[in-house]
Amino acid sequence: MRCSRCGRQIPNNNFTRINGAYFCNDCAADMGFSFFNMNFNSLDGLQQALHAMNELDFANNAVTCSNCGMTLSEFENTGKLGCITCFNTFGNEVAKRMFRLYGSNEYMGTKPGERIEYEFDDASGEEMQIPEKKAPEKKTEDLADHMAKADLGTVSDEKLEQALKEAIAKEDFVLAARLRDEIRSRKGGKD
Amino acid sequence: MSISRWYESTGRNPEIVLSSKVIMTRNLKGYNFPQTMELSDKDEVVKKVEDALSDKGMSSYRMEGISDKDRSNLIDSQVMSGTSLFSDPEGKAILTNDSRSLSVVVNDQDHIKIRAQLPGYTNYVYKMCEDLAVDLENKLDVAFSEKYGYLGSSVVSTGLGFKLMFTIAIPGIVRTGDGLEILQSKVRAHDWKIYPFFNDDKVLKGDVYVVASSASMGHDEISVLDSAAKLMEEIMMIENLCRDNLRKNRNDLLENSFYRAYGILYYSKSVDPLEALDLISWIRLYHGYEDRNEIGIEWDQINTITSKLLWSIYPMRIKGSKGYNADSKYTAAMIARVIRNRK
Repeated sequence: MRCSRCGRQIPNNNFTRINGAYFCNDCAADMGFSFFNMNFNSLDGLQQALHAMNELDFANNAVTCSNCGMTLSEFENTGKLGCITCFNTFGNEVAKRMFRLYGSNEYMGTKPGERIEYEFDDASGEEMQIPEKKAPEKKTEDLADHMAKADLGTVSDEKLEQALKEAIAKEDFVLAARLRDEIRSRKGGKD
Repeated sequence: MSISRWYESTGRNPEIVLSSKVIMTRNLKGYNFPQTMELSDKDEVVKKVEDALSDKGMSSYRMEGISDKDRSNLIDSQVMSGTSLFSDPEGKAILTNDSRSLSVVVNDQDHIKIRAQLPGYTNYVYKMCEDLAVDLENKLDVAFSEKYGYLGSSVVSTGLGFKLMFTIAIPGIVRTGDGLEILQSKVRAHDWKIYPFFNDDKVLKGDVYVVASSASMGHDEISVLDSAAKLMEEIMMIENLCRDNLRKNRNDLLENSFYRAYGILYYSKSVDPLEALDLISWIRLYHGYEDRNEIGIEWDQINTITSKLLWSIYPMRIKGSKGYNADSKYTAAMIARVIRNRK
C-alpha cells in the first residue's frame, strides 16, 4: 500500500486512514492528523479525524469468534457470549463492560473447588417442621392492655379476674379499679 | 404421604423476610454456551450433571416431557417461574431435592444454575449452593479464568458467579410517606438492588420486593455476605419502626382491617388473587397483636399464602398460561386449605 500524499510504500499497519484514503504516519502528522500529538490544525481536520476513528470502530465490529462464530456486533447488541473462546476474542469489550457494570474488572473470588471460611447460620431452617399451633401466650401478656379498651360488659368473669390480677401486677390501678367495680357489680355489689 | 416443601416451614424473621435465595452459575469447558449449543451437546451436558449428582438423591425432570402436575409443582416451589424454560424446553433439565429447597437447572442461560432457597432470613443458602457447586467443580471441568472468574454466557453471569436475593414483605414501609425512598437510598448505599416482585407490572405495585446483590468483580464472596447481613438488618429495623408507628397512630384501622381480612380469607368461596394479596398484607401488619383465643394463624401460613399468590397464581392468571387453574374459586380454596389445616 502507498501513501496517498507522498506515494511512498507504507510499512505494515503503519498508516492512518482519513476519508477512505491511506496516509503514512509522517504525512498524517504533517497534515495534523497524528493521534499521538492530537495537534489538529483546524476544526475541519478534527471532524475528519473523528470520522476516520468511527470507520476504524466499525471495522472492528466484524471481529468474529473463531469457535462459535459470534461477532462483536452481536455481543454488543445482546450482551451474550457464545462460548468460552469469546472471552479471548472480545476481551477488551468484556473488560470495558465489566468496569461499567461493577466499577472494577478485577476478579477477587474463589477458584473452582475452594470454599469460603464464613460463619453460616445453622441449618435448622432447612429441617424445621410446620410448627404446632401454639398456646396463646401473648394473650395472657396483653390481657390487661386489651381490657383497657374493651367493653367490660362483654368480657367473661374468668377473664375479668385474670385481667385484674395482671393489672395489679403491672400497677395499673386505674384499670384495676374499673375491673374490680365490674366484678363487684356482677356479684350484686358484694366482694 | 405428602412431602413437606421448604416454604411450609418457618425461618428467621418471617414477619418481613419471605425467603432467602442464592443462585450460582457454572459452565463446562468444551461446550458452547446453551444459546449456541447443538442438541446432542445439550444432552451430553445433562447426562454429565445427572451423573455427577447421582449420589445426592435428587429427582431429575427433562423439560420437553414434563407433566402438567410436575410443572405446577415446580412452579409452586419456586424452582422455576411460570414462563421460563417452557418456550424452548429441548435439551433442558431440572434436578431437585424432595423439599425443593435445592435445585439445579441445566442448559437454560448457562450450563448449570444451582439454586438454594429457604424460608425467612438466612445465609445458610450460600452454604447449600457452595456444597453442591464444589462437588460439581471437583467432578466436572468448570470454565474458569484467573482474570474473569467463573465464565458465564453473559457479562452479568461472569465473575463471582453467584447472586444473593431476599424476598421481603414491607407493608409498613410502603404505607409510610417517603418510606420507600429512604429504603431505596439505603439499598443503593450498599451497592445492592431493590425492585418490586412484579417488576414488569405497571398496575400491580404491592408491598413485596426483592433485594438482590449486584457485586461480581472487585469483591469477594465474604464481602457480599457481610453486606447482606448489614443491609438486611437495616431493612428489618426500618420496617419494624414503620409498623410500630402505624400501630401507634392508626391502631383502630389496623385492628379492624386485620379481622375483616381474616374473615374474608377464612370464609370466602371466591376471592380475586389481587384482593387476596391486599388482604394478606393487612394480616401481616397486625399479626401478633390479635386475640389469639379467637384467631390462630402463624407466620408460615401467612407466608405460604403470600408466596403461592405471588409466585404462581397471579402471574399465571395474567399470562393466561394453560394447565394451571388460577381463578377466584381456586384461589379461595387454596387459602382456605392453608388457613384451616393446622396440625
